[in-house]
Amino acid sequence: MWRRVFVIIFFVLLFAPYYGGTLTSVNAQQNGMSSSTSAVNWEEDKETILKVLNKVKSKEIISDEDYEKIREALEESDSLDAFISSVDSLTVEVYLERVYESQSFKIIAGIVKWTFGNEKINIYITLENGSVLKFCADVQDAVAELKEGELPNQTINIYANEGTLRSIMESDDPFTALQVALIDGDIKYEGVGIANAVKLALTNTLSKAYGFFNPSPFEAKDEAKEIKYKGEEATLKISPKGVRYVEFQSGIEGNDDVIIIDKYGCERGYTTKRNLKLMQTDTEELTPAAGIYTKPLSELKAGNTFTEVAEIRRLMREMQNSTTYISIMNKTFYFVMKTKGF
Amino acid sequence: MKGKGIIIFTAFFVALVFGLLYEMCATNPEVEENIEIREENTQLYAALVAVGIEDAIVDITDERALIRFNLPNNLNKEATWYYIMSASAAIAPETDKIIIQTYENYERREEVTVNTTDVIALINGSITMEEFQKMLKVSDSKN
Repeated sequence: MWRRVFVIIFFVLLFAPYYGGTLTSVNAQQNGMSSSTSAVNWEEDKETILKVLNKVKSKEIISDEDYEKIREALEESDSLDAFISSVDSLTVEVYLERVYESQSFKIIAGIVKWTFGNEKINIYITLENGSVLKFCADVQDAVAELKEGELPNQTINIYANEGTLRSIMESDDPFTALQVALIDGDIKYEGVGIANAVKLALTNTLSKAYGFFNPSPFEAKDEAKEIKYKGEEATLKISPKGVRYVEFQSGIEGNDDVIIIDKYGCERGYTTKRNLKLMQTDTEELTPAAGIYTKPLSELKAGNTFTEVAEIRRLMREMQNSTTYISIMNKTFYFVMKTKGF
Repeated sequence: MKGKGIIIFTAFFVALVFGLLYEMCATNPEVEENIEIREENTQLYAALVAVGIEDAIVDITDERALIRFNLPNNLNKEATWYYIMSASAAIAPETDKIIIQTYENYERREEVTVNTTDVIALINGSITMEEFQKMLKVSDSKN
């Protein structure tokens, strides 16, 4: 799993301002909790990586030579793991001036340049299994060299964890999610030596000030807030249990699914407007996860075609007595045990 | 040189003030940031949806499975309780008890509480329905 994360971090963190919606297929797989690298998945990933790569090349963020090296590795690989193994030893030069010129970086480019320009950076990512992935960036003026491993004479350390990075890459707006992670301290950075420590502390304060004046669209207060989510007009609200959710203004008639999101704008689950109404009647006994499901109601309704369930439904509509109750319970229990759920 | 020092100090001070202001305002205690979504909630909700109960809150913890549902017009209340008890015992057998809160037109009605082990004992045939019904605690919220 972490290797998959690594390659996506690589693309997302560096090229977030450029890729727009091109990572959709990877995001969809992540949402489906799939970490397999089957042939079909690999073809989809390959196409996505190539799209990102082409976009990055068209913006002249990386050199033609590096582009060819990565593209060659991509073409020759038959799985994501094979691709990552082949680029593990690769050093990629990133032309930072091009990144700073982007719309997303315009306001903070000065701070980013001042903080990270001409620095040697070690990046540590703590994975869910407890191990730490290390890679480094050597920034010389407008060029950053990125590779796996650690620099012995680093001037800045950056710390993050797999969960935060996964949320960033699964977010509807990864660039905003990255800013949220930096401002909230989910991605930490520290300077090595007194001068760098002071510089980084100042950057940290400035970024918080920036966040104060430019709050994330996913920052929720008590009142409803109009936002764009998945390219559609939507409303961000807080559930009675303090959970962020998004409801679309142009929903399909009869479908009142709403999406539960986190502070990064990452999809966490689903519920419905009517369930929220039911929740509101009494919130005291409920946990924050109450009524949040991993699939939307529309999908759950569509997925049930078992004959055993039809038989249970028939029994539930019959004249009731102890025999019928026992029959309903037995049929339900053994159906669930057999199918491992609905 | 002195002027430059004053500018740097002023910039640092202004940034510090805004940083502190942000720290004070950014924390919103109303918003829950760490939600642990349990797959069993979805499995049990799917079981409810399968028989036509779409308006339902499933909230499973290690201690209890709480199921709050709005009863559809075409379903028998007691039959629905037995169905939910059985599905819950199969999906979350490790919970101590099952709490079913019945709503009609979003108005609270009965609450049924039962031990999960008693439900399994009934299905296994270790106890009779008569014995089981004595173990059920039904409270009417209208009273």
